[in-house]
Amino acid sequence: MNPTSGPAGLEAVLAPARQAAQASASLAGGAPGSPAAAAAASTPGAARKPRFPLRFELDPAGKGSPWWTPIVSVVAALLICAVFIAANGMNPLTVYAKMMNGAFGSSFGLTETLVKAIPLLLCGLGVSIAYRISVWNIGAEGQLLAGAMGATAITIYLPGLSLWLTIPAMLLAGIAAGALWGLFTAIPRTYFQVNELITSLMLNYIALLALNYFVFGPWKDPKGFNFPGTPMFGDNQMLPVLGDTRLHLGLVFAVGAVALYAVLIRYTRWGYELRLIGANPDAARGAGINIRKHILIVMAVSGGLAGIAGMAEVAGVSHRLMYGISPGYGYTAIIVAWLAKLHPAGLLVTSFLFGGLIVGGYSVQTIGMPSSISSMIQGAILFCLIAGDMAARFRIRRAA
Amino acid sequence: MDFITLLLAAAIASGTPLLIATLGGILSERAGIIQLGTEGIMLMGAVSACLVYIRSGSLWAALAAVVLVSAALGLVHAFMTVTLRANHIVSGLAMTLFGAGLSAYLGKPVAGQPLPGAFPRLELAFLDGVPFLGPIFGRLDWFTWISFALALGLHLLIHRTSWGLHLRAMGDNPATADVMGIPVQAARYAYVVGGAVLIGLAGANMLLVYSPTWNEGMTAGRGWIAVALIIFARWNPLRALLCAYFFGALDSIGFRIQLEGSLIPSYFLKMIPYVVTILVLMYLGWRGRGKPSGSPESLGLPYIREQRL
Repeated sequence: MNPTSGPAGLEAVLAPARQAAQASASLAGGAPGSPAAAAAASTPGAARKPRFPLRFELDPAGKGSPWWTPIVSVVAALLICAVFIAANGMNPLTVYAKMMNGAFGSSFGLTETLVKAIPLLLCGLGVSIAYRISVWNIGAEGQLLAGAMGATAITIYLPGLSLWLTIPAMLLAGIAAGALWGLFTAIPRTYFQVNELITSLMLNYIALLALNYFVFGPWKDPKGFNFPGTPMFGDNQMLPVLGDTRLHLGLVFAVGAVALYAVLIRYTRWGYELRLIGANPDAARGAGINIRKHILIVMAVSGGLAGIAGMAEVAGVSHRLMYGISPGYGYTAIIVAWLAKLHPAGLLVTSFLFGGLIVGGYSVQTIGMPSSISSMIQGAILFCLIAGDMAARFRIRRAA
Repeated sequence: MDFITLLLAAAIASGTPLLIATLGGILSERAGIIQLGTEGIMLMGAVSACLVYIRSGSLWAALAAVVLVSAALGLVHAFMTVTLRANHIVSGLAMTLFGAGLSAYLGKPVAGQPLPGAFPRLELAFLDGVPFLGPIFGRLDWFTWISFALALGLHLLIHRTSWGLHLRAMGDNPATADVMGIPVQAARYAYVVGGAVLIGLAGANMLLVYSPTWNEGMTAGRGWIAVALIIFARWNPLRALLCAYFFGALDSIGFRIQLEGSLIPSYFLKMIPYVVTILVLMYLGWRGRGKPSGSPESLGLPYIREQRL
């Protein structure tokens, strides 16, 4: 038996405990000038002595975040917002219960939630295609408004089209206008190295001003008592609705677009190239993929999908183009896409939930809450989501 | 007063919030952290200034609240980007959406209410008779004077002090800065928080000086224009001064043209700053193709000592 092994082994066992004790002492009395801090600073032997006994570090074996982080993030966001609701003198539980009830508690609430989910799903799908290749399109709001204006232009300038041509023409015009608005973001990005975040956001304001120009100016209903909106659409210019609800054909467009995207991304060359660019742009460039071309296509598709959303809003819900047609669907769609982790099936769930959040926001107005409560909750959810996604990839280890 | 003098005075008035926000962004980005939460932090700065000023009546309390709120938001962004290493762009976007929602929610009770008092002005009586300088500088508020000093001070800090050298080093190459003995993580926290405070004050400036009532979303994209201004200014505070007043002039030129009785609908005149932002960025991109943009080289990249990413 080796005689030195005993004390050395003992030393090895004792060393971490002593270090931990030292560390906690310097933590407890860590004020500058305190004896513990001075001693710790002046001990050259303990060169790598950690300041904290525990270390929070990125787990090198981590494979993305687990499935439950979105759920935990939503709960955390609701808790954070509860603080602000309570600070405003309301009971958060009452408010949340009222919102739940308004959005999901009745058949009217449910169909309203679905109606709001349609533009969210279409815009969310659009932005998630762009985010997949790291094109930060935050212009879905402007693209939606452009689509709404494009579709309305058909009703203004081609009122005599036959029944079977009107809706397809409006749809095409909406897609074209949205895609054009998307290309206004993509072209500066590809040929002039302009950050697409700034352009797409500037284009949102431009689209909003253009819409206001039309509804307050040349397209205003002459018989509308100065209401900022176009004349009501004719029967042939409206999307068919389900029974006597407000749920319209746009739902079919939205779900169809998601299904089509799920197939394309999985089974086509285009989808494969997009996934490759998303996974590693350098490798994709090396493999001869034309990234510029893909950015242009993706932004046109992204804008076109938002354009469908705009067309569905005017033709399916408001039946006219009017002031304030979108309560920020394009911005909410960003959160919808992130919460779904850019996954098509996830989008179906998150857009429904966020549709409910918007309807719930309206329903608490009756108890004196501003409807902007829903945008506050949306922002908090996105925050908690990205914090949770990253935090889940960390591990806590005892400092070596 | 002639058109040019009026336009310059208006350019300074509407350019000051842009300038302060741009300076905040430059501070953060020089340290390597992209700050896209500008719009949200400005809105939160404006709403907290409005709430505290109306409830307490004290301007100092309002400014203190702005500093506290925006520092807290900056701390959150720093935690997300420096410690958790989240994507800077998404964290900033979340900040903007959260700030817009929370400010709309908190500001509902004071929306459209007048403030208890105007921001104090520095009366320079000796300039009264001077033709050009008098109308522009004679009755400027203190906030604007401080913003001039801020631009100059930050320029000197970044380019003429060892702190500035360290700041630029950690934005360009944090690993080297770390080896030099600069506490990169802590300093990044400090600069992001400092930058956020400036951005919050920019929002407060908009509310207290430029348009003295709170309205939901009152910044109307100015936070994003400030993000673009960082690029125009090539991360340089003194160039930021010129760029901010150029955009301030664009912002007010539409209003001036309208007052002169133009036939162009006001909606198109209001588009001018947004359209010009895109066009100027395109021009800069075209002119600078193949050349370095002047951005800090490690902008947007996380750094943790001894860890690969």
